[in-house]
Amino acid sequence: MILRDSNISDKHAATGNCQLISRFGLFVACGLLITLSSCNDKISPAEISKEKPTLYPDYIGVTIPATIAPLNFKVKEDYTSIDAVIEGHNTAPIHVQDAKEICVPADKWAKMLSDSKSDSLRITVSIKQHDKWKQYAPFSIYVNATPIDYGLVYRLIAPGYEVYSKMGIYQRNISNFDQSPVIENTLIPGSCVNCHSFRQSNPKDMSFHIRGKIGGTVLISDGKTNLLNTKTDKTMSNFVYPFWHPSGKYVAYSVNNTHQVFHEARGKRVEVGDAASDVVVYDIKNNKAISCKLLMQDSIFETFPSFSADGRTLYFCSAKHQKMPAQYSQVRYNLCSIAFNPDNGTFGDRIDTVFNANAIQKSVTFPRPSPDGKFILFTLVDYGNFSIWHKEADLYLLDLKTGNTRRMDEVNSDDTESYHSWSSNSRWFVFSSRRMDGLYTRPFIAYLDENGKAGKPFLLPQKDTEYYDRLLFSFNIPEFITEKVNVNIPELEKLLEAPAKQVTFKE
Amino acid sequence: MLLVATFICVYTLLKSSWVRASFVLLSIPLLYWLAGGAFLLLPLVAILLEIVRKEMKAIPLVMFLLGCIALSYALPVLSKTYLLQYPMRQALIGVNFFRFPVNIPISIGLIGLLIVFIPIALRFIPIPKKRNRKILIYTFQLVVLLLGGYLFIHEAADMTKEEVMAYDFNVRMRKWDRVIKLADKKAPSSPLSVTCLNLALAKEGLLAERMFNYYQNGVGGLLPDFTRDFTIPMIAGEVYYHLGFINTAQRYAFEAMEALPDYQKSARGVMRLAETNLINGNYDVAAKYLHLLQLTFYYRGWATNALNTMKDEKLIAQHPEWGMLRQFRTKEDFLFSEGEKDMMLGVLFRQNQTNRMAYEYLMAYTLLTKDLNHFMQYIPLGRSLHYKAIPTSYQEALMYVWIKTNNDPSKEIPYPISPLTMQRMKAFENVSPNQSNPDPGQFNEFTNTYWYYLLFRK
Repeated sequence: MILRDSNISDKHAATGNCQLISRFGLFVACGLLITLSSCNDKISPAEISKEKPTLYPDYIGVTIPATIAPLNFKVKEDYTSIDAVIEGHNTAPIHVQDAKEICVPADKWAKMLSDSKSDSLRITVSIKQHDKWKQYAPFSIYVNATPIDYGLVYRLIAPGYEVYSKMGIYQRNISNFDQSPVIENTLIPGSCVNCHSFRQSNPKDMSFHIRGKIGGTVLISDGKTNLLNTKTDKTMSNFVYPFWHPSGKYVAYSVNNTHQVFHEARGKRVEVGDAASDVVVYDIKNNKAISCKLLMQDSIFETFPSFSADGRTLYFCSAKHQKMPAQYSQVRYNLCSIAFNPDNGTFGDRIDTVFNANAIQKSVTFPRPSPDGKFILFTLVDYGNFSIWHKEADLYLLDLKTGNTRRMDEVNSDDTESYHSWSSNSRWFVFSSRRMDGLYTRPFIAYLDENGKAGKPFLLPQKDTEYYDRLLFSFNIPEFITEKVNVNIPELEKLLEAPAKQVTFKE
Repeated sequence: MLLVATFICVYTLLKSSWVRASFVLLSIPLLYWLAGGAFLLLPLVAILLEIVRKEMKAIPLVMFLLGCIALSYALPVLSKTYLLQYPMRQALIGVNFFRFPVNIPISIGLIGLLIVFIPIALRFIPIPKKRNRKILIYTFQLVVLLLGGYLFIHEAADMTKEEVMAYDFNVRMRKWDRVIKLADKKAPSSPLSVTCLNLALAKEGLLAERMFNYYQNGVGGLLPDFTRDFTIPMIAGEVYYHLGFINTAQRYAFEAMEALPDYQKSARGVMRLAETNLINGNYDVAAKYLHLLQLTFYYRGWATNALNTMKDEKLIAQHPEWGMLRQFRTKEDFLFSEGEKDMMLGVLFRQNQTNRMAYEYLMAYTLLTKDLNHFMQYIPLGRSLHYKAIPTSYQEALMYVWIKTNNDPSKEIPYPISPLTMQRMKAFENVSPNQSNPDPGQFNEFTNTYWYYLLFRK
């Protein structure tokens, strides 16, 4: 790859003149000039297209934070060379030319973004076909000044069925391309690691599960790591889907009796559903799971709990009990809420329906209140609660002030949009989508302004533009983190050698 | 092992003790990276040989020994701390060196011991000076190597698994005639071999005609139940694929691949994922798999051809396998049910009544489960397949049902049964007229009939 400043040819010409002292110098200079002239294929386009290029990944018109890693890309066409000129605010343009892809130098990119906050980048792309350059119409990338968190944590897992191979929970610094494992299931052969969760993106409060012969729920809180046995005689299963209380004193979990079945016709693959489910809240200090009759009704499926920003409301999804799996397509979850008193860990005496999805023959999954308390972002599907296997799954935004709910057309696609989480300042959200190939889930990040209007989302950038093509893992449960996660693996291994701490239950 | 043995060989050829020690200490990290836990053999041999050689003085020898121990201990510990999230045992053995990281065969341990033992033993065996004696010793070594190698392989190999692998390989290569030849040569003994054979018979249009010519172990030999391993789903998936259960074939390939104990992926599995996605019209996902296969040596050409075919719907429709399977796959959605395979086969055949394999598997299912009521229900469905004659196994079942249900001797069976089948039925009846506990030995000439299966297979 050749990286060039726009005035690089002049610089080299001047350098060459100064060094023409001896024959050897002349020889070297000529050689250098010949080499540079062949590399510095000056863009004199034979064709200037009015169309914008079709990029892979599609970064045209996206809104990005000023600290994001370079958005490397290529054009979805055959070519022998690709050239891009990236122009920002008060910065020298970045000129990149390569045979395969545009990989922007990180330092220049970072400076350009920093200088272009609240402005936009203008990118002109050309490709060389049959020895002729074709220049596309320039496009913009919007640089939003609102800061974004340090990084993301996600699970990488093959989008399979019942059997799982290697998987792990990984963290990624989104201002560069560094990814490192938080925990991999290779540490405990035969195990599954899942459902990582943080208190409002704070990695010091974390929960995740290790399932298998050895395992439990790992809870990191107040600087301590605990391994919990969360199955009690009053609850149907171990803790499953988590959500931290903003105070850090509680974590809400669902308990689920989950089954999966498999479709035979094309277009559908897997159906995951609960034959029963309830919601409990784990009191960390007292090591107790607490709940109430309203959250543990036999006639109702309760799942996907989440706390409001003030911690005084517990949201969850609620559906009328159906016979499973026979009536899997009849299960429709509403978004409901119940009051919660964090001072004494008690619940209100009534359940409110916040969004009646059943009335429109739809089903709500993953309600996620924004940390600023203004919105709830959720996924809507035709039925059931396992939205990742539903092509129709889309993101919806509920404005808690007005009570209005709208489909987020600016971020949705024709394929699945499923899990999502907020940045700590509520201005960015990350969501998983299958829009790239219909199967492998990829993380997209979008900006959301105070009025609830989102910018065009961008795919989490990777150093190599073919990274996602080769990757046989899905990005599962992308969560923002404000700083690096630190799970002490030797400490965890020691905990795993002893019986897990038993959680008790109190109604 | 071979790599470590090579390093040991190089070590033994070095003259200077300092060079030898340096070579060992530098090779330990390299071998740990290249050969995993087998690297331990080099310091082990080196320490023992240096003690035997007595060329090093005490202090350098102790330092060398401590260096070897420190390096051998530190490498796995450092790898585990900074690079690998694996148990300590796995960090010591190394990652990605053995398909079965849990069970390392004793034979590998024995080879390791030999690698240590031989160079030390050689120190004590005098080198022959006479030419004749040298030739004699070399010949002896060669004989021991060949004979020992043969016996070792013969004893170490599991011939039942070898048989399954032979059947599976031919199924994978679509060499149906070879599968049948294997069965003709030696009757398949394992359930998976029977599965392969039944599939080959069906693909050759012989299942209904000849399936009871071979040992049948019930529905397990027709459509094995799913298990969480990398063998059964791969083979069972072949059957589902050729029947037209494309989603199930895809799932089985995926699951088999995920079940690989060393966390690797299988090119064969990826190939099946590409095929099933291509048939289902999921071209982006299919292309992802095909591009990966283009990076392999054996599958590159196939993947490139598949990518070219995928560009044109007409080419897919004309493809002898994919085009046909597109016609056979189910349009009507239903949920896979392990306990209702006959129902699934029925739905599949109902949607495309030219899917002969689905019909014959449905009928085979009823025969193998001895469900003759459903067999009789389904017999008329076969009309759409325009058989020239009713296949032998069906004739035998029809005759059996007729004899058991018809009370009027003047009536003739309302199906065109061949005279040979009728004669054999009579002969069969004569051997065992309503015996409550018949002796199988009396029915040796009927082992290739459905009646024999009905009577003696549980």
